[in-house]
Amino acid sequence: MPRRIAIVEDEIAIRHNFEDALRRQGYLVSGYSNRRSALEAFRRRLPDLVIIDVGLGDDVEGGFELCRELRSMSRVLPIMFLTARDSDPDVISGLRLGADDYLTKDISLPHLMARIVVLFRRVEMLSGDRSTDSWLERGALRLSAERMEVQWQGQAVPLTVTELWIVHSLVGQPGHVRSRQQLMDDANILVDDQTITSHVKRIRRKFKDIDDAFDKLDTVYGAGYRWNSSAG
Amino acid sequence: MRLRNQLLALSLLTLLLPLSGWKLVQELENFLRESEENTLLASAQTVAQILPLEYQSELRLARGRVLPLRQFSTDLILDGYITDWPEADQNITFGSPAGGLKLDLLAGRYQTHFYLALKVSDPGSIKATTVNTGTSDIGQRAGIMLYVQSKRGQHSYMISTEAPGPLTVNSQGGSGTRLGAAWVDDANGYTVELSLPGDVERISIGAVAPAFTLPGISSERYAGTLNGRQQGEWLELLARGDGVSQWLSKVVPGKSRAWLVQADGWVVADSGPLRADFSSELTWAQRMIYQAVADSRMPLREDPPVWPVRFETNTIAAALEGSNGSLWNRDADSASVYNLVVVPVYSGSNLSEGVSNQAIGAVVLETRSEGLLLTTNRALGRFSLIALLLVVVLAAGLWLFASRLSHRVQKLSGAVSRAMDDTGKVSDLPLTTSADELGELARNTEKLLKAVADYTGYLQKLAGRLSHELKTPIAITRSSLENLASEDLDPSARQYLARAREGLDRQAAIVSAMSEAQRLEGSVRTADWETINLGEMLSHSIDAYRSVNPARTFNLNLPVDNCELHCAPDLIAQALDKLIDNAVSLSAPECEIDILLRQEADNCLITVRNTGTLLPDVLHDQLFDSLVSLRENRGSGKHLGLGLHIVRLVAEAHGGLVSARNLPDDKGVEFTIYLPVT
Repeated sequence: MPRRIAIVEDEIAIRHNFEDALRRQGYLVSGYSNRRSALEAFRRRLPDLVIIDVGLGDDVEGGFELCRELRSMSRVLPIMFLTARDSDPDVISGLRLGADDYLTKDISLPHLMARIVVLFRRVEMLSGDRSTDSWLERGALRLSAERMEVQWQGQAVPLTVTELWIVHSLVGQPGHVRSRQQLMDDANILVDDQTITSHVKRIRRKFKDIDDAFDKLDTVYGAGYRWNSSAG
Repeated sequence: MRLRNQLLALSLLTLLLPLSGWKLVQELENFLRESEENTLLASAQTVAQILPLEYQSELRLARGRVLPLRQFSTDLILDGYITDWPEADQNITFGSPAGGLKLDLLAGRYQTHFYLALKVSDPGSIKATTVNTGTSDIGQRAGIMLYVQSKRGQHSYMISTEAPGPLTVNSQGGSGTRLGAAWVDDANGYTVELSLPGDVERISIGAVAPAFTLPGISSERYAGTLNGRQQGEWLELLARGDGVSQWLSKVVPGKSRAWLVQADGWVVADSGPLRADFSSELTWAQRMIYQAVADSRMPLREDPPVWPVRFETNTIAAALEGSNGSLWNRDADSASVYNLVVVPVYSGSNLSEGVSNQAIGAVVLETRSEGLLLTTNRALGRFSLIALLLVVVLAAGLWLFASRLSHRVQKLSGAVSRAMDDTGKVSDLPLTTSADELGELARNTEKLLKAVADYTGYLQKLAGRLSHELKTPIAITRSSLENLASEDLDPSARQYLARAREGLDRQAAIVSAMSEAQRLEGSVRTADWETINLGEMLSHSIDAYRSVNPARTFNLNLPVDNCELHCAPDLIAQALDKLIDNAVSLSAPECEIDILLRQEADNCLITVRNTGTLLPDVLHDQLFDSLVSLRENRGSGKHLGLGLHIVRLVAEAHGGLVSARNLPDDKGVEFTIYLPVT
């Protein structure tokens, strides 16, 4: 049975383009241009994934509001922001509202498809059989790409998909510097350096929430970031 | 010229006030003097008219037929020297017809004694004493022949000697009084002093000298009133009339002195000197003012003799011709002025009768006024002082006002120029609360500056807003193109599609760059601040740049003690990125790039230096503004001039600043970030 994806986007051309692209991938797609009509539909039945634009016409922060309401309706429903607003405060508030990913409209359709696949896989992993898990271990860090899960000292670190890919890229070659461009490629996103910087900052903060002494994620100025492989 | 100096110059115009006051005072002074002169003239005329007839007789004596007598204050010593005679230069002079021989005659009186002084000069001739030594013939001797008429009869004397010194002269015939005399020789002749009996009425006198005995010429020479060696015209002795003097001193007004002069100018009567107790009531300051005001063309007064013997001025001569005269003098070192008026005296003492008559003498009247004007009108003097004081106060007031005005204008001008330098940040202008025109100017300027600042802010945000607005249409194009790519297309269509995507990627990069500065402003607020070692951070960074640009040479110059700085390292790294990117892209591949870190005073300085394109002078100020690019070739698309703007934002976030300059000798450019340590 095909998965059902809802797109809430006020820009008709974009919405139709995305709908077409997704349908080509075999998804059932329904589009909404504003919060009210989307909510009405969601109350009748929740889709398997919701892609929301932050600004919905005159409703400048309508996307955030919709995300909040959806999260109250379902705690596990995957929600993804796809927006032109790429400033740090927007990304932070979007993720804080419980969105699973925050993408900018710069993203190419193939990348978007890849992210959607990853997201669905994560949902499957959470609900499905865990026996096939393959865990990547680096000291206190355990990372499972299939389960889309990261643990530090045995505790799960609540990373978004983008963040997870960044961590995955760094721990893949510990001690080696990964430039921002490399991280971007690995995370399948096309953003500027600063957004990578803020992603890394958030990752560091999330680890520090668990372990205040966390210092594995080094900044190499002018070059990029490095997973510090030294013991301790 | 500064405003306050202009006003000061203007205030000098107020000097016209005391100037006009001074002119007024001068006019008034002239007027007062004129009226005083008129009063004095009137008095003199009155005196001339009421001169009693009995005194007029003394004036009626014919001109040239009088021998005026000086009034001695002490008895005379008969020594042959006339230096003890008052006004010895005032005398009656006779000359011999052929010239050469000259006789100066003076006469004087002390109580009942009469004296004569005779100065005989005969330059070029043999001395009289020598002549006398050579002859015993009285008719051949040189000397003075004197004929005396008194109540006791007429006597004649021959005064001659063979040796200078005192001598006694007997009358010829022996019946007259013996006269005491003294003879002194001098270079040109001789001087004789002679004592005469008190009752002498008139004399006939002359100097005689033997003739030159030149071949063919032989004439005896004589000078005087004699006729040859015989008695000639008589000279009447003119004694100063005590009666008329007393009369004069009674009729003349106080504070003036009057003289009655005879037709030759000889003083006949004198009312006596002015009272000596005329003490000055003026302070030196008043005297100074008066001397400034008084007509400086007024001639200075020469010290006159206590008892004048003769008046010889033009004024007197004019008066004796029949016209009134007046003369002003001033004292050199006091504020005194002297007015002398001369009025002719006519026979009969009646003007209506004597109009056609020859003046027989003159009345001379002199007054002294001290600070004429000031004593009569002190208020004027005070007015001048007050006016001067007013001018000083007014000028000082104007100057102060102008200084304040100038200071305010300067303050406003300084604040405006600072506000303009400050890239659109409007600090509050001074004077905006003032009610005057300057306040209005300040308020309007503030409005203008705010409008400019708004506009600048709008421009700065324009790039960010524009990029935000452009993102959606780019997304539409991108998604459309990608959808199109999944369609079944022939190869040529795919080629166009590839080109469209390439163009779109470039557009997207531009838009991303445009929003970079705005995003940076956001990340400045959320940046992590920590204390790091700048030197360590720089060496890491340079390693990275070397690996990214393996063909380029980077020289890092670190100080001995690396700078510890509390900063946002992410931001600093980003700023450094921009500078290095600039240096790499704007210099030839073989050029080296120097990075210097040093600590100066309270600043850490990061300098990036490279050879290559120099900065144009024109854009220096705007170099770090948003959307200003100095690159000649902007075709590469990604350079929107935001790089240096970001560097500035970072420097400002650290409370520092950034500067750019061309190195001397066209060696390249240098960018320096100043980061305060505190």
